[in-house]
Amino acid sequence: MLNCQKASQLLSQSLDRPLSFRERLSLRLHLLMCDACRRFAKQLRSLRPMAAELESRVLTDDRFKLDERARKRIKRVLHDGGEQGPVS
Amino acid sequence: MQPPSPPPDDRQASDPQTWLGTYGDYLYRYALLQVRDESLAEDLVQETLLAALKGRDGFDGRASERTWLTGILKHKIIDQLRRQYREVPMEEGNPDGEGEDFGMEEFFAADGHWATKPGAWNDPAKSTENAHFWEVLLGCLERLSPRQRQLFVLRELHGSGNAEICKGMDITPTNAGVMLYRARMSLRQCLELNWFGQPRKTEKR
Repeated sequence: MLNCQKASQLLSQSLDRPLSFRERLSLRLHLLMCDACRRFAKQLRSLRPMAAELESRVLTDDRFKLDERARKRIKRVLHDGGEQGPVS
Repeated sequence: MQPPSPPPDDRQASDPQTWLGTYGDYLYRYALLQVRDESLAEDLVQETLLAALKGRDGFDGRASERTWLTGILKHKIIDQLRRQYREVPMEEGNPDGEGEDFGMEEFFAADGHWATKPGAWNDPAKSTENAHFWEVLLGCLERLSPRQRQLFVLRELHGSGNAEICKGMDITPTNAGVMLYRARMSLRQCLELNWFGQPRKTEKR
């Protein structure tokens, strides 16, 4: 019998790999009987779309910007880039 | 009239001098999500643009220029993480081979039942419309151990494939799975505690 801990592990793994038939079956049985894990499963799955939206928000967030000093330095390095060896 | 854009095999990357202005902030934010250190993120942007400059011929015009540059940056990030993993092979108190059960007393009792049952989340759909929610989520991400955070960002924010991550970072799928599991457990709990409401009270051990 699956316990809640093992069920939570399988739920996480199901986001990264296909579960085997046996794993799917035992997980389904556990979820039928366990409302805490059903709730957990729903919340766990909601993390993925949240994470994706967080990324797009940060990528367009004007609070995070290259500052002028860094910009100048990178510009210089790019300008010299052709002549010098790779920066380690 | 403008001539139609040339077929893909003739397309070239635009003037490298414009990259910094056009994509600099985007690449910087992308790097910052991963490294959480401004000067490291700046270095990554620099390395990425330099590598792009040298590898300009590799741009085949199939992807957008931004996608191409982001791909280079992602390789640099994964490379850096792999080097870190080589130097310090496994997380503190989580040496290679420790299974998923190790150190999970915070979440589960010895018999595998929830130590604190997941609470009801009120109206998640509405929460995501609230700007403050995203600050809380970012804060929860910060609280993960560096490795869990790095892996989670790669996997769930940047949407990298599991196989790509394991190959690039030279870790096993089991290992990646354990760290992603811990990251997801901690994030879920952190969101519950700090946003979605209090968990059901159970006895603290």
